[in-house]
Amino acid sequence: MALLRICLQLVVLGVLYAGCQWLVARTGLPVPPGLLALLVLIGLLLSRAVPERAVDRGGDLLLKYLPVIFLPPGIGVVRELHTVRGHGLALAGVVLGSLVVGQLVAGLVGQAVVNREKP
Amino acid sequence: MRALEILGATAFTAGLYWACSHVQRLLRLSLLHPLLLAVLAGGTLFAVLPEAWLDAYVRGSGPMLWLLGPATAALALPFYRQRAFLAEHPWAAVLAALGGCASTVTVVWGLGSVLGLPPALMRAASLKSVTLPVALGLAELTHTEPGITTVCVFTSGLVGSAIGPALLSRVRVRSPVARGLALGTLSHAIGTARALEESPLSGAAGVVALTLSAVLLGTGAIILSLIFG
Repeated sequence: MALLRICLQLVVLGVLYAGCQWLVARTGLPVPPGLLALLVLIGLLLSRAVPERAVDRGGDLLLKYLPVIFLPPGIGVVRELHTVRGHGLALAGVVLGSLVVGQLVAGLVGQAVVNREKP
Repeated sequence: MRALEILGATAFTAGLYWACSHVQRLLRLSLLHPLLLAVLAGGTLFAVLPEAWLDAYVRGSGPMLWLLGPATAALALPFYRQRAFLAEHPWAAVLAALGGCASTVTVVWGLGSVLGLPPALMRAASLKSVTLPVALGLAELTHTEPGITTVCVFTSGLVGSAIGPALLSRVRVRSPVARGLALGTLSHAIGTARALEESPLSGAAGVVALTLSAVLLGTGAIILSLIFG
């Protein structure tokens, strides 16, 4: 019974994504179908049009095994190594520098707003 | 032939990930995420094999990659479960995510231009703070290479969760809310897991921040792709 529920919920999530794919292809919306499906599901859950129990098991299963799905695009980097060649150090510097600045800004802004919220 | 490629690619991916998870558990190195290890091992293997093998692997992993779509939609669940946090701290969440995203993208393009980084690599670096399933969708939209994007996203997650807590302590960011928001905005799911280790409140802030970061940077990328094509 639990397995059937998970399978049905996976179908629900698949249909939601396929619907968003179809909508994006049909209308030419410049939005990744996955991001659209995420926003639609947040809206459906918050408006209680879809109860959490309709997608919870299947959704949690997909999220649990998400890292495995990331592997093929990660391995695909081999094909694009020539684009990084000669820029590896600069790319590393940019990624790390922007990461540190972004984290500091997000943390300091968050702290400042929380301090103002305190009674 | 096609069925064989799909079967082979799926079995190889699952087997490699399982083996790397096992190695990571044996070495007990939290920084060595099984996915990072698997990308390095798989990448090295395909670099020495004939190119046709990589082509077959990429073709065969197509159906598995399709699952990334429903999985992206499923990210709505952790966000929905933390909706009470957003209702309690709406301004802190939105402003911290907005500030973090805007500043990190500004530094990417500013520093990248100074260092002479090609635009394709700057686009990949700009997507590093977006959770991977959404980042890959945005990479397709902005004609950015998915492999480089994956590496940038992982670097941001792993390095940010490793140095973030000490960095935030150094500038006296002590509020669990602010710390979780900073870790979730820049280091997405991996940062959120680190925030959860600090406190449940930090973890909740991380979940909300990673979703807001994906929506904000996604909106920015969509607007830019509309302007520049």
